Amino acid sequence: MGKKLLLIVGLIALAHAGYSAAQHRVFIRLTEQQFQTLPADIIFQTLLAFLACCIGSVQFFGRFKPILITAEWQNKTWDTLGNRPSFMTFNHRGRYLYRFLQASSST
Amino acid sequence: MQAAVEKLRKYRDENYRCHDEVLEIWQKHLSQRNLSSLGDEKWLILEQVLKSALQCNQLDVADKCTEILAKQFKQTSRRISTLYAMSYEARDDYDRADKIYQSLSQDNETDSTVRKRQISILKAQNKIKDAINELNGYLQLYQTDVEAWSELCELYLIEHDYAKAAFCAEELLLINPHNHLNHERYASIRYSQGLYEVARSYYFSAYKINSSNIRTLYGILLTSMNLMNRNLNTTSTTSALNRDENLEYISWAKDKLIEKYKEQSNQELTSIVDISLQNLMTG
Repeated sequence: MGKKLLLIVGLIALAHAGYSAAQHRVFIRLTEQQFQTLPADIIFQTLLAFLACCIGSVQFFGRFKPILITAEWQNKTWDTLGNRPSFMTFNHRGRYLYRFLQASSST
Repeated sequence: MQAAVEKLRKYRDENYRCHDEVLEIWQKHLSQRNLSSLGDEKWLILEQVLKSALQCNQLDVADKCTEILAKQFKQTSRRISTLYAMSYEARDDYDRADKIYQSLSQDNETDSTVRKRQISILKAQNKIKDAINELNGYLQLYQTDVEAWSELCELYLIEHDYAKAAFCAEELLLINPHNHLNHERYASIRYSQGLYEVARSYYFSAYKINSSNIRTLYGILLTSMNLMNRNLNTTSTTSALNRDENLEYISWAKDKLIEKYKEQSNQELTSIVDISLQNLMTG
């Protein structure tokens, strides 16, 4: 939830900074001054909102993956890798093992 | 219930082979409930439970699952037909299963699951040679199928054809060079062939990828032992040099092994490990 909020606040702040900049230009034109730079608070708000958007969107779209390519397999064991479900066969110990278990649990 | 569904999903996605647990979860938490709130996942769970039931020979559970699935998806569904055929397989009725698979593959020759099932039927009947032939034909069409290469490797190992099994393991290494288990498998096959030099270098590469793999350390230890013993018989000038090198590897692997066991366990076990390592090195 916090990530979402950060992203939304960042976007709104960015839009607001853009709107303030436009307002400033209009104000300059009406008072017939020479335009030099934007006021520092608008620049500061833009940068801050940009940062918030960056962090927010990075957090928002899923987790980071480990950068090492071998990390994906690090905790895998032969138990899962050696299992090949599309070649499963049924005439193995399971048949006798579970028949026995069933019989012993019902008596 | 949520936890049960999540556990089943994990088992399904990551290829776990614990069919008894799946059945237990099904009977304890899910079989009495209305699963329609799960949406389409319900059918996946039913299929999973059905396969597990067949593995554990709980045919009544399996039949119940097929009944529900068949009601939903009609008889014409290819996947349902495959499941029916699998339940015939579990009853050792291979002819009937094969008939279903044959008619399915006539409809659609590119269906890889059906071809894989036909190969597994051959394997179940212990016709390993035929299964190998079929699987080779299959792999000419689908060369990137990891599961099939792995199966072919296993079948060659059953036939003790190490050279061909090693070829399959090489293919798997090429497909996924970052998996330490592939390196370990290749090394172990080479070890079985007696090519200790090659085996040791692949054990080392597996260790480089994943240093928590205990088997590779044992591999390094044993290959070095074997190389040293082999060189004892030949009295050449290089053998002394080789001996020192091998001794270095052996003591390194031994130290690492003891270190690993100390990280994991209590004092009692480490003394047992010490003794068994000594036995390995003298024998």
